[in-house]
Amino acid sequence: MQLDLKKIPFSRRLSRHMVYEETDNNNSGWDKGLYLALAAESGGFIYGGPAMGPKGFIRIIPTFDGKPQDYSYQASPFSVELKTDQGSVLFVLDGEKVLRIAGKGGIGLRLDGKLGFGDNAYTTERGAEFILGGTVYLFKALRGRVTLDCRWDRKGLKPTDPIVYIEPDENGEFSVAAYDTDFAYELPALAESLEQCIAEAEKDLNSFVAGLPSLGAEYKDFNDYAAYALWTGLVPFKGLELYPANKMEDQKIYSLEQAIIALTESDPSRALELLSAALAEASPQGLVPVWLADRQNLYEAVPPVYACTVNRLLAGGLMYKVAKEQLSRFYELMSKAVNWWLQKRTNKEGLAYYAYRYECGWQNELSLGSGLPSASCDLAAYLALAAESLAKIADFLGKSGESESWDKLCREQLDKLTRVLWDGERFKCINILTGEAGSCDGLLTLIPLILGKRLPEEITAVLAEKAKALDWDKVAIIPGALIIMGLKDSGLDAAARDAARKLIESCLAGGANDRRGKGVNAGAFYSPSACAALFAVGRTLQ
Amino acid sequence: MFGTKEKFALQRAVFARNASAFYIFEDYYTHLLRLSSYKPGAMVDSTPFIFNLRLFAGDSELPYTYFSDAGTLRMESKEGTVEFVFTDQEQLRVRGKGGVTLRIELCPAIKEMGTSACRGIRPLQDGAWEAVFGTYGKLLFVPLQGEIEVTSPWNEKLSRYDEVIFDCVPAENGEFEAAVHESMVEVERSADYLPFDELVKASLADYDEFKKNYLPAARGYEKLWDYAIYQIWSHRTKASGGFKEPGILFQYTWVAGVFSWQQSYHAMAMLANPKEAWRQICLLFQYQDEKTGRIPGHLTYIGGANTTLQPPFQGFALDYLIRKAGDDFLTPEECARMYPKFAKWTEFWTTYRNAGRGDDVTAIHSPHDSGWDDATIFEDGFPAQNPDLIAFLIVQMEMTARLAEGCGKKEEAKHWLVRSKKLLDILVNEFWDGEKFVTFVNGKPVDSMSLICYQPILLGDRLPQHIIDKVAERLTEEGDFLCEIGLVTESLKSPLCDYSARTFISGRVVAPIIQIITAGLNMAGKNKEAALIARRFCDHVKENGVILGFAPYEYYPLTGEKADITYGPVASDGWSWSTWCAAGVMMMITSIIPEAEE
Repeated sequence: MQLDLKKIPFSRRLSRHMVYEETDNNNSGWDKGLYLALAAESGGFIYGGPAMGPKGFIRIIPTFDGKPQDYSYQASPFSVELKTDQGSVLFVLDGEKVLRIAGKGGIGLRLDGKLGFGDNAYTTERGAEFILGGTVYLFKALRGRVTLDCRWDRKGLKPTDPIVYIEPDENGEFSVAAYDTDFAYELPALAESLEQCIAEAEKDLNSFVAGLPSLGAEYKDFNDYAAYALWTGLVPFKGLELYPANKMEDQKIYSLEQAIIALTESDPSRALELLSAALAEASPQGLVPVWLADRQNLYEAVPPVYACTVNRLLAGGLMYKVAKEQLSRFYELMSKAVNWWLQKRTNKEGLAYYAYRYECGWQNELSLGSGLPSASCDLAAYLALAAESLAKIADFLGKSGESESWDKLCREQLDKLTRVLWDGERFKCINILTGEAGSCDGLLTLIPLILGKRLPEEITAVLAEKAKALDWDKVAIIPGALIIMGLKDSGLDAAARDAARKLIESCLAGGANDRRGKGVNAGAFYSPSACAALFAVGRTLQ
Repeated sequence: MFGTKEKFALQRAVFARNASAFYIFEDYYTHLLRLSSYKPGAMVDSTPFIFNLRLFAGDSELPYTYFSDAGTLRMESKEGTVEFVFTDQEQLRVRGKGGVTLRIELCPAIKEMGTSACRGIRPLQDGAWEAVFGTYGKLLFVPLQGEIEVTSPWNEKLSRYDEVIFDCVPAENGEFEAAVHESMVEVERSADYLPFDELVKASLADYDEFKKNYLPAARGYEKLWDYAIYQIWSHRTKASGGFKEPGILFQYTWVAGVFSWQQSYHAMAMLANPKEAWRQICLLFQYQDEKTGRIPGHLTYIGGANTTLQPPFQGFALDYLIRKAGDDFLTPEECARMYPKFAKWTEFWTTYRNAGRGDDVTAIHSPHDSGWDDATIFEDGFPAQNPDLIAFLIVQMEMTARLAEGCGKKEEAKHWLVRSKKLLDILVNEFWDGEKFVTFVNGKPVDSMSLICYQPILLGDRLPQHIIDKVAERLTEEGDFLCEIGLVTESLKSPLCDYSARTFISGRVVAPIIQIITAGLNMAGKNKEAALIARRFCDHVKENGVILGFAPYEYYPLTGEKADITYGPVASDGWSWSTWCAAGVMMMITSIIPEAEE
């Protein structure tokens, strides 16, 4: 597989290093070309809130006799080779922390860096060091020479833009290790050869892919890209291994996305780990944050989409293979989160509601005609599924009393959905303060399909017809995937297959993202959660 | 204390309270009072999360004046009054009399931001309203008397509100009362609401209690003592969010962080309560990196420890505290608790900032490591072997020895004392050029006329007398560093002297270095010289506010050139009232100045 670095960065699992091609898609003034990037939250000197934007901070320019050279490149999942008329430079990841750079043919490199306020760059006996908040990005020469041109602009309170020069030795070769480290400088041992680095990365990717569902031979290239996006999308986060929205532009860990990515996990214990990450950060009252970041969680309600994942783990029997201790812990976390909806977003009549537009997860995909706060069919469906799942887990854990309560809640939510919110032809919404009913439109009104055969056939039939009419080129990928899985669970295999194909094909050109490549930053075309959602619907093709 | 008709208004200071995140200040342009919270860590010139406070009688807007003390802020109009009190329970209370309506209106720092901060507003069934502001937190408005009326038309096209207004409307008796709760997680009503006047009493009592940390002021500085303590008390956080213990914020409006070395600056002023001073010194050690021994440069409500670094000021503060208040607080248990932490912190500097000479001389990599951002000692860049940092380290080692001794680790104490003495010898023999202490970069001395070249006076009587005499002489020579309002941070004779608006320590007269220098001179036996400098600075602060620093002149004496010394006009500029200045002032008016009079 060849990588198009304009769309997806070269990286590897759990590594923050990336190499990508900046194309300035959004006219932000970036110089075009290959860049070194680091998947780190930025803007952190004073407050360090999560920042958005491409993560490139060092532009790569090959040189010969000190002069910039034109170049082309080829990228595979395990290396990037930059070629000039005189020679070439190879970029390889040596484990998670070290980017190895090797040049031959007399080629050197000029690396043009950019630093933010509070950052600095200087030379020590270790090499040329970029200080980026708590991160040290260290260039160490193994062969050839590394020098740094950077001065302190005293009045500007910042360094001048740092330039690293990498020059070849007398044989026209250089070898440099770029470490992603910190002030403890615990530098990992280097592999003996770049071939060894490539072999180890390949082995790791193959092992990862072996645990993933497949989109089939028909979509092999796209399948490989999506798998690579998932493999490289993983980062270490507070002792866990989680997926940020996109290593290239948004380092926040969205709770909803972890739930979707868990759908692709063949290891149920790992799936629960992904699901638990955000649930464990719930407020004392049980409010699960929208996202987690190094320094802040955003406490706004996010719909309990995790119910879909848990339900599938139970249906396949995988959940029961998890150690009881882990399952028990998960049960407590999920109960608390579901209870938040029951206590904070359910009225006396048992109607669960959204208080704010954003609480449905995709506010452009739901229109609530009765105004807010409003009961909505998608929320009732999630809660029904969540309650049923909790009932099953409670039963398995020997908590029969709790199991019965959850079971009762499941029946109540199904009742509200099918008798109160369904008007015989379509779902309606109900304003919780006024009791007024209104029309309910948008993609999310098809979410009740996730209930599969629990939904009365006449409702399923109406929703399936609507699903058929969707413009899958524009559908938000995650809810779209949930709907497709719902069609399959409803026994509408052909409809599910057809929709799945359309959804996957809508992403072939513009990547796995809701904007299908339009207005997307360079390197950020493949969102791990969208890839995971597509893998999940891929099952309907089999 | 503050008000329209008072000596000081709230344009540069804020109305705030110990353990509350709310603050109110006066807009420079409109003179309206504005309300916000420091928790999101946003800066006052760019935050979308600020509310104008306006008064109305029916549809007519009422001009108002205001007055605040430590307990309440009162808005006064022809028709009636509105009073605010803050609490330590994430809640403010407001009451109105005389039929006036208080309008709390979202009005961002930058007009184009509109109401973008507001993600949603909803009525609750008890007449209360909840409003959510994304990363800026949540507010809950609860009417206790009268009503809360909300105006928030939704604009489908812009996908945001056209305006966000909360009106506190009086009941038939012309009065209203409301509680406003804030939280970064979830806002909830209180089970009960204490009477307004009790909250005021509680605030005032809390303020009075806090005053007990300080010795009395030298004669003539009593009012300044009140203001400075108010500044510190009102900026004290509670243990919540990223704060494991109460700490003292630098500012509310610009940099709402609990800075590492500032906590120790405060300790040097809390001489009436050495235990609390010692707690301040120890505060940041709770966040010490286990691997490296590094302690964070600052803490914020969101996320706690940050990746910044500040100098090892703790030893110096402890030395001063022991000299002035004794060492009863250093029980064997305390020494045993803190010795390993001090040792590890000291080793951080000698390991991760070692100059590579084979001894303990350090070389720093960023001006932030020293604290003196734009000082001319950094004219030649980094790594810099700067004597100010080395001086801190010498005392840090000595105080590490003191803690080792205090918990019975005599050999380790000896070891630290030997290292401290050796580093002192190096400082004196290699960094003193006969006139000043010199910074080296790449083995070459940096040509600098910075006040920082004299900062090693913080070593006090450890320095040879000839150096003490020379430093005292240079710092009391009019027109060099000494000016009418204290010490300039770059000699007035230096071509690099620059006290324009966007500078910090390349000329301006700033509180922190004056605190260090006067403490050092005092500990070197130069009490009168220390008091002379302290008086000049504190006299200026007394008249101009507890502000971090000042331009000494409107021109440069060396060239006669006009100096561009104002930021603004902007609403509350970067040289706002600050606790960093308050700490310095408190130390000077309670120990440096009185001691020279004894």
